[in-house]
Amino acid sequence: MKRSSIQEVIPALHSIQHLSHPFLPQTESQIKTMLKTMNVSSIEDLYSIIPKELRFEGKLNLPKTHSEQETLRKIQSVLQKNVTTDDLISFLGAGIYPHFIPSVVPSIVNRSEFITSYTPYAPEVSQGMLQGLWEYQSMIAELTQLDLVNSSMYDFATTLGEAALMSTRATKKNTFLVPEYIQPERLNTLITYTTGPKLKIVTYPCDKLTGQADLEKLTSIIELKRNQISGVYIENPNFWGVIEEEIVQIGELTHDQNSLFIIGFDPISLGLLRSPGELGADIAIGDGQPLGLPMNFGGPLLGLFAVKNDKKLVRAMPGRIIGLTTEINSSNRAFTMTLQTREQHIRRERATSNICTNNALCALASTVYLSLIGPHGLKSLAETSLAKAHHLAERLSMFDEISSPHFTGPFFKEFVFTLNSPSLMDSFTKFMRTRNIIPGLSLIKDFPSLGSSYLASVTEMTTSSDMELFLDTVLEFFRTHGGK
Amino acid sequence: MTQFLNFLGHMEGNKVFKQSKWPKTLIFEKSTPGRIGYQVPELSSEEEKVLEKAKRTISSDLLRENSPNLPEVSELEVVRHFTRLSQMTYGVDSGFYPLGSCTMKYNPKICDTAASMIDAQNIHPYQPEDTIQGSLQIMYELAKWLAELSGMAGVTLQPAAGAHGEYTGIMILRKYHESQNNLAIKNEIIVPDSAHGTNPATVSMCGFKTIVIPSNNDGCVDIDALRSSVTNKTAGMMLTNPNTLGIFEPNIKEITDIIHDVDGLMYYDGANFNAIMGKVRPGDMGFDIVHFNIHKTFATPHGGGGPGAGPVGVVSHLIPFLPVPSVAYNSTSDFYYLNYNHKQTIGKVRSYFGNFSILLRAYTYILRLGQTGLTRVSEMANLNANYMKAQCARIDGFSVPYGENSSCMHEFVLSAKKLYKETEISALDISKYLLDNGLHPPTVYFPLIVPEALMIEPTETEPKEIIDDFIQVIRNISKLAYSGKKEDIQNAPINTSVGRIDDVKAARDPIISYRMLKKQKKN
Ligand SMILES: Cc1ncc(COP(=O)(O)O)c(C=O)c1O
Repeated sequence: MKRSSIQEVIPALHSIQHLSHPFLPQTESQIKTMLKTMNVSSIEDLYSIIPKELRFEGKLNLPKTHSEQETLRKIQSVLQKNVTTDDLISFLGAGIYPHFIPSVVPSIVNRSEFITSYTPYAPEVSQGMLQGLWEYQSMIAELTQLDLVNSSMYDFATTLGEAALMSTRATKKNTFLVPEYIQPERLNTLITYTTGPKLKIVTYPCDKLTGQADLEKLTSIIELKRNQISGVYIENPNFWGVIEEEIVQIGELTHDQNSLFIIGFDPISLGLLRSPGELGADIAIGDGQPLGLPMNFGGPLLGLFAVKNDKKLVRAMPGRIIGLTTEINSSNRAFTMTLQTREQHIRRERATSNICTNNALCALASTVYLSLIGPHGLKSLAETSLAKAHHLAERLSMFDEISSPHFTGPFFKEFVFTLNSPSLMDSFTKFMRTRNIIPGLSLIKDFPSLGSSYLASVTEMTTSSDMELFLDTVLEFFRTHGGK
Repeated sequence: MTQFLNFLGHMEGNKVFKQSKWPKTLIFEKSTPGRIGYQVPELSSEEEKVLEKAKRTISSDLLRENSPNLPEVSELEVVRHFTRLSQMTYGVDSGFYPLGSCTMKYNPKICDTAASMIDAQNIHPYQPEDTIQGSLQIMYELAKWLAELSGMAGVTLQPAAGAHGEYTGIMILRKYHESQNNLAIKNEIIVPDSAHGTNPATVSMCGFKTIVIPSNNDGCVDIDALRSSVTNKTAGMMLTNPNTLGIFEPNIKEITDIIHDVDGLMYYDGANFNAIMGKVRPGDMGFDIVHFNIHKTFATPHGGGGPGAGPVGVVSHLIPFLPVPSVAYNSTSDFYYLNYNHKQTIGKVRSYFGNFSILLRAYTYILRLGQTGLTRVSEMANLNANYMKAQCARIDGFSVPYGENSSCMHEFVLSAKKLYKETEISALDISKYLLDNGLHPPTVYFPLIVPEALMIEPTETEPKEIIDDFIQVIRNISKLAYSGKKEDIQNAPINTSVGRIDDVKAARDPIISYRMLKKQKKN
């Protein structure tokens, strides 16, 4: 504080209203000095340029100023109306998964230099963030075995939209093939994203028995749309949790058309499953939320975007990219944003995307997470999820009233199970709810042809006792509800 | 006295600020096989058996042969590596960050506290509605407050960032024209030449053509140019007000009338909302669609590039077009719920309902400041900017090409054109020298219509002393440049983790992952 302001502090103590708000440092006397320097008589005068008739003269219908204590009390009291997954036995997944977050992750990510920095437009003072993001790109590249990774996008759904748009830019064709059995929100986002550029979305079905892409139908769609296909999209594991066993053939069919092959993936699965790069992907996309991010009621998430190393594809990529280079005057390493001529601030209406603010801090969180868990940890995490999911599926299959798993294809950490008596679905869900159990995502609304089915997800967070309690409750339900 | 000491500090070989210069060893290069930083709990023996069986269900050519090449490091090594990286990162908590258009204000810690509450974090978006009443209430109330602040009738909180808000807004505009059976004709959107790059990029993504109109001598929309560009093809116009020069468009009513006369819609880019809270509302200016940059105006941290949130507000006749779901409230049963019933919805623009933890921070911020506090925020933001503008415009070599003699709003654009012409010291040089003084530079070379542009936004949270320091450094630059002692400026920065960076090399031979680095080393 400036020494000269000592006298002014004394009267301020007498009249509290003259003390500034903790977020607003200028004192009354500083304000006067500043106005005088500018030859302006009041703050109000700074708004004189706004036409009178437009000015808002009323009182905004907003809360009053709250003290820090009052604010926290209010927020706590509202949030307490939530029931967290800690107090539930939840088998919800379908795109967002509860995984354990090591304490190191929030401790690092909440370091105030990281959290309060902007996009590294001044690279010389942002080397730390830039290096962190470069290491993020590198780790996703290692997972996917694709060289080019951007430094994050919003979420899986928008990333799928961007991948579809990129496929038309790169191939100059305008039909995009997707499984009809992807997360409905993801499909709907894709439809929105492809509306403007008039990209045609064509869906292909899965085999009703295996839950895997129906290769025959897909082949005939590709025949029908030949020379128009910009890209073919597939997820592995797919929405049912099932591993696509014919994915390599589908990639070959796609490449025969000179179309891009795009694979959606769960990063945890790559500790165990063959990588998108090895499976022939030109683009791999996914959500990084399982890598150290809280579920946060659905956001923020982390759109992963990896691309095969190809000169033409680089230029068509959306999003910010960090490059490794040197100082101008030395061979010392330095990091900087690069290949920016693709981006909106330079290319404007011809940019590859409008994205500006991305999800950098989420990318940093996943980098810390992947550094901690390492190659062996990731493998054992994937195996844990696999084992626990299979364990649950098998135990559920012992009930005559349940088909589990619904599909015969091999599955990873999610699977569909079905109540054989459709009329019981409502009471099953409600019964479980009274015991604070969420048996998975109900599929009845979005996929009615599957009957009374749930998509259940299992991670390392699912304890054996949770599982036993769930199974006991299922048993109790069928006893009391006269299952056939 | 303070002034004098700082002044000497800056002059004397920049002794004030030194950033850490840790070696740029990659975490991959710190790897030692056999180390681990986090251990996954072991499986039970029963689960082990299941695992072997489960693995056999997957054919070997679909299993990964080699584990991904991630680093193998201990917990401390991870902590130390990233702590050092943080020490080579400059944030608002490190110092002054007057990056124009980005509103780098103080991010109150209370907002972090709120966002890290378990009751906020450990919630799955597909949980039953009766288990998410708290989250829904926060979203419902925040949407109402944002509607009130902007003069809009309905708000969606879904968009993930400002540009994503633009995308959502222009898709709403598109759907509106489609509903009027006008989409075949209405395919142009007007964007001023001073607009942010995301505006024209959004226009293209939504399938429209950008029509750029020039600014007039005051930096505002050239009304004649606007009139001659508007036709029945005009679907709408995107505008920032105050604009990217920090100037309030005085003819805004005329502009909105011109667009509305051809049944176009007015889109408000809310990046500069920090200037006008409680003073004037986009709705009252005639705008139909508004986005907010939560990570600017509402103090949520920018995290080195994101995440943010970009809620969108619309006038009442556009509410049916909002993305689904909206958050609704049944007062009879005192129950919040997700409403998918928007007949003409544009659909989904992302998964789930929005960047909740960011929205919660904004909710906290609004509570903390309240109605009078938010108005004061805008007043102080404008006061600080005008004070800086008045001082900087007087410095030799600098000028404010647009709005020199009138008040700006929360930011202004300084031009170093004269300094560059007379001393060859460019806006880029200035930005590097500021770094050596521990100050983050303003946005440079934007907006494109100002030569050697320095776009300065001090925000309301900076004390006058800091602002004075910055002005003093600009004065020093002018003095050094005109007295021929330019080396310190041209050689800057030297107090930062690295000196000037070879961007050309970065783009010519891109190395954007460790995989590429290894391949390059092999060759
Ligand atoms: C004027 C203006 N419009 C739009 C944007 C885009 O917002 P965001 O970065 O949140 O996507 C920005 C910020 O970068 C901006 O300054």
